[in-house]
Amino acid sequence: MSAADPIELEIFRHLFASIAEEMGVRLMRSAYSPNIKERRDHSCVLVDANAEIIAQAAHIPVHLGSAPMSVQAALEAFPGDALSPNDVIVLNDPFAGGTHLPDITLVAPCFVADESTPRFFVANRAHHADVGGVTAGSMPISRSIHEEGVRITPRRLDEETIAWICEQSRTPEERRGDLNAQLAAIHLGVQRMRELCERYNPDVVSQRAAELQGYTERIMRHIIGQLADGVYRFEDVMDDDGTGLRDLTICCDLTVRGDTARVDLSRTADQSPGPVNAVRAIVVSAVNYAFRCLAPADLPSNGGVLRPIQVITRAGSLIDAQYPAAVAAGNVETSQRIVDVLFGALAQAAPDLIPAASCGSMNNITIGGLDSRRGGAPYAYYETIAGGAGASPEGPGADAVHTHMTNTLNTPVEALEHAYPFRVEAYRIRNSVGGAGRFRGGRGVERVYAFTEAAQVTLLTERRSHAPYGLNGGKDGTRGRNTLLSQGEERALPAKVTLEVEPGDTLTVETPGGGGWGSAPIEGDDHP
Amino acid sequence: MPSSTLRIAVDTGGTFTDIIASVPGAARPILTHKLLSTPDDPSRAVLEGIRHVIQHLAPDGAGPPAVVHGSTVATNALLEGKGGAAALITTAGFEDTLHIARQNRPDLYALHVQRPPVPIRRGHCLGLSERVLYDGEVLRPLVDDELEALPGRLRALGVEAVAVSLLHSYANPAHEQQLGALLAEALPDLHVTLSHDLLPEFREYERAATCAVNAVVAPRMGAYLEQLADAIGRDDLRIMGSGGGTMAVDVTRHHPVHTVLSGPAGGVVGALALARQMGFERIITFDMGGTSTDVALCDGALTLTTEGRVGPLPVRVPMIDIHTVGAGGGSIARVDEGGALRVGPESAGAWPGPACYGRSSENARATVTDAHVVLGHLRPERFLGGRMTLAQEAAHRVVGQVAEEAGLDLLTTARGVLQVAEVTMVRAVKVISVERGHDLRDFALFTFGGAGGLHACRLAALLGMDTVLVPRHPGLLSAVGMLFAPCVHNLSRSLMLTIPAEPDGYPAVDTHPQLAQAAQALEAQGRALLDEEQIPAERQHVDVTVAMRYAGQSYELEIPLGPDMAQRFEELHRRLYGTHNPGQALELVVVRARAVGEQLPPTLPPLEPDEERDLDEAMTTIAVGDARWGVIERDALGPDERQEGPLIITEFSSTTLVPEGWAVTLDPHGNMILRHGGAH
Repeated sequence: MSAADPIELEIFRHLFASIAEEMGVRLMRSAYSPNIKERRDHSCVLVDANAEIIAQAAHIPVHLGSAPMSVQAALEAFPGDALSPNDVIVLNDPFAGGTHLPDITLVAPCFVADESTPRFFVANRAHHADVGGVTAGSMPISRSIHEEGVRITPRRLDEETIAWICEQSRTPEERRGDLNAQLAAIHLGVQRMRELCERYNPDVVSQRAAELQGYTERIMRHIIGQLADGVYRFEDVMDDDGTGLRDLTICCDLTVRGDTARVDLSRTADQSPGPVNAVRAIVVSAVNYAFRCLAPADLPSNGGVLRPIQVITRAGSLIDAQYPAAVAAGNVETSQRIVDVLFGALAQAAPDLIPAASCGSMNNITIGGLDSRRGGAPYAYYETIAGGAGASPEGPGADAVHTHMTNTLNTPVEALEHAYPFRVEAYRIRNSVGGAGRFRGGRGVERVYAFTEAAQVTLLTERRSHAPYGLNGGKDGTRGRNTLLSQGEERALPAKVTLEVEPGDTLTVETPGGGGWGSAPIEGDDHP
Repeated sequence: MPSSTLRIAVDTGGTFTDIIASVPGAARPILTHKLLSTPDDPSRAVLEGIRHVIQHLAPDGAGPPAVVHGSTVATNALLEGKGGAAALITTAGFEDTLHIARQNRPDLYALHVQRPPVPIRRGHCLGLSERVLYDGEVLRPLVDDELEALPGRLRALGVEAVAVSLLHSYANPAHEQQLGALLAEALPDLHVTLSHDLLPEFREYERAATCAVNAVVAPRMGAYLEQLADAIGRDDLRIMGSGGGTMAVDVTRHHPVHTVLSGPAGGVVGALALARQMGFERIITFDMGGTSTDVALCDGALTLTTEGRVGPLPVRVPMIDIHTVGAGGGSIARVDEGGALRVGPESAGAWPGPACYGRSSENARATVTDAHVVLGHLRPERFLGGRMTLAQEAAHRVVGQVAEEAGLDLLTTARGVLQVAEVTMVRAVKVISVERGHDLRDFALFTFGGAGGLHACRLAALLGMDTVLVPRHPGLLSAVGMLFAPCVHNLSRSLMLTIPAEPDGYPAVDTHPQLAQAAQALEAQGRALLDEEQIPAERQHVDVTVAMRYAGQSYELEIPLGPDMAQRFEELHRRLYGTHNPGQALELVVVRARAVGEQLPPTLPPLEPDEERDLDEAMTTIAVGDARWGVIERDALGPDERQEGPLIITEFSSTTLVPEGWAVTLDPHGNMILRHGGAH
């Protein structure tokens, strides 16, 4: 291939990115699940014939690296010549291209001109509010994948399949609306890629895609090349797995050599009985995210990011879980701890760059029940609650903000109270004192739910026993806390719990703050 | 001369204050004037400019002129963090609404997470123990002790303005009203924004942020308006609003947040008005300046949005849907570490500006404008009517440096800089058109601002459009728009009604009594406000729209009130999203009314043919590389004449490129119509 033309490179960067973004806008605008439309828990990608990403519009990093695995899984089930132009493949199976069951992925081949195999693929992933399983919202404290909801191995998305998926959900109409929104975005992506190929000729488009990946790879190699060569080890622990197993260790051995890195997580604890297991796709996403943070903000996020990085996991470990492991919380909680250990290792290679640990939990809350205001119709509410950001060499950590693997928006309290039969009594920044240091860690959030009807609540949270670490002499951040006030009695709740609440009960979730950075506190460096 | 006939529009920009005056029927119906802005006190240039045009147009001491003013005071106060000290009052437990915002971070991959600044500091956010529920029911009333203490607390904070945004106040405003009355009584000088009054719509963060912006800009805007009102006369001054209409001084003082897009809104209103006179109803406006480019779509009418932002803050009052991208004439070109040619978002700004302005030092960097100089598009001797000579060698030097880094020759690099800048603009236009279900082939590209004409035809070609319109005074268009702008009041009311589908598949929206009642109430309110402003009934109209969605969705579509609303909603949903869900319940979220009092349009003078002119003499040619261009002054072009590209048309504040395959004609008023493929 001849050297990339600097002008064409830049033009195609915009052309590809705008297709992915347009898909994302269409999906978000017409979706039903609050997770998609209000919280933007979705992503859209363009992928090449080798299942490498060309461009993506992702609002949350946990979707980043895993799209290629979805396409690979679809291709294993339906080799190129088994696919035809109107096919759309659906999947959510964590052991075949998925991450956890609520994230449903659609993959479609993009055939160009009269070619017999797809030249590109278009995919999107969205977090559906309920896909069945033992608790509403499909984020249970489960002991196997079978308790978590409908498991979709890669298959064609036809009317029958849509009906089958919807039937498994507590909110079938919402599923149908969301799947329609995802389909509309897929069709748009395929159409736009075809238009691009008509305008520029398919070989040119493919070549530009490859050049863009090469461009990103060059920049990543340059960045890794600036890290000091060496082997860096770091480990941190998960509080528990929700079934009584505590202190699950995640270990990272990072080797930097020249412009390449090797991330070895194989010393991590074994797969656990509870739902905190993560599949390998999540590790790949976390590695992608952590290294992507070292690069300039506008670097095109494509397959080039991971080319200089080798990721090693051990099958059967907590972070490379095998069927039939429970994985509901792996995507949301374990993913955050993987980032913590990656940054803990990277901080040794680049001490003037890396922040202390952030909140380290997505603070997942799921509430389900029957809404008496709507004739007892079932509902499922899911939300993640922000925490404090870790302080960095550049300054104090931000308060009340989503960090690392998520960036979903909150549900407006006014929208929530219209939609669900409970109230939010307070939503404020915590008055916590943790995370002291030269720069202080950001503060977490206090969110108080008041129940007027019986409901089932599931909390999947972390950093309730092990605090987010400080760096370079900074103190650890404040731990989170979950508390139930029922009939005048206050009860501390575990980090992961499912409980039945009664009218009059109040649940308070206090999220962790970020760790501090640097040892010498500056006089008057208090929060405003 | 009757006093009401002299109308003056004044648009204050960062560098220039533009004035245009209209005296319908007079021998010289339009006078334009441009003077340097006075950023330390913008009113100085405004008043001086007004005096100047009065001297020239109404020397015999005619009555006071009617002035419409586009002001950036509110926006600047906000963006520069120079707003007043303000407080926010919320429901207890929600004091941090502004600081938590939507809990997301702006940059997904920033190692050091930074959130945009909040206009009201945390210690100024006060919670009161009260609670209204989603359906308007009062769970907890306001507490007397807290009410008594409130004025003292605000006084102690030393704030000039306060925003009150209580939970669910759109469903029941009683508590906000109670606080409004209390504060008016106890602290009469305090500017008070009540959220149900400014924006009676759900989503507490966006409502509180809009109110906070209003409160923060109010003190400075208020003082500025008083100063102008004293000099001009309170009833003779109106302010251009972001929604494309003008507002009375008192309305603007109360809700200055309606002026955040004042100047740009004038430009879009002017573009649509002139396009209509040229016979075009559907346009994409394209305003390219030094650091950014604004685009907007008009499909026979202005496109309004309630999802606007100012900087990082949501401002949810209706405003013209203007999409801005960080690519302009001053955008800097460079080759990055990965070998890609990048243009912007870094900009050389107004000072020192592009290298060809000759004001910067050795380490000047190449800009889009420099690339135009290298390609011969900008004629060094004719820039700003010859007032400024462009430094050609500086442009060649800086673009040459980029060429060296890129490993390309000089002209290819210069062309590449333009191509890359244009791909950013293409993206901006697609966001407001194709992504919203419009077919660009139905639209003409209406260009104004300093640099727009250099790119318009090239951009049109990339977008599959074959017509470009360039107004007679491209640098004054915002002011022109202000002469055309109607009086507008924006009203809204939250509905939150869910209407199930009937057996025929459509929910019975049209006949819903609560909708009809709310629409009527808003219409009556709108007409009363227009009556107060003495707009005759025959020039009043109230446009009512209903924001609706499928029950369960989060984004609403605005459907004009009228028959078959449910059907029209589904059609629009399908057009925008490629999908619809027949048989589903609809949710009516908000009903909005735009009460409009139309202006009598100003008379624009015809272009006088200059009998003396000699076209052959006026036309010169230049050659750059293998490109040859004719060069002509715009004033040398006569009405109803047709010239073919390649042609460079120069005028005081802008340059228009007519590439090969395009031809230009002038309409009777001197506006240029550029067509591709020789279409006449």
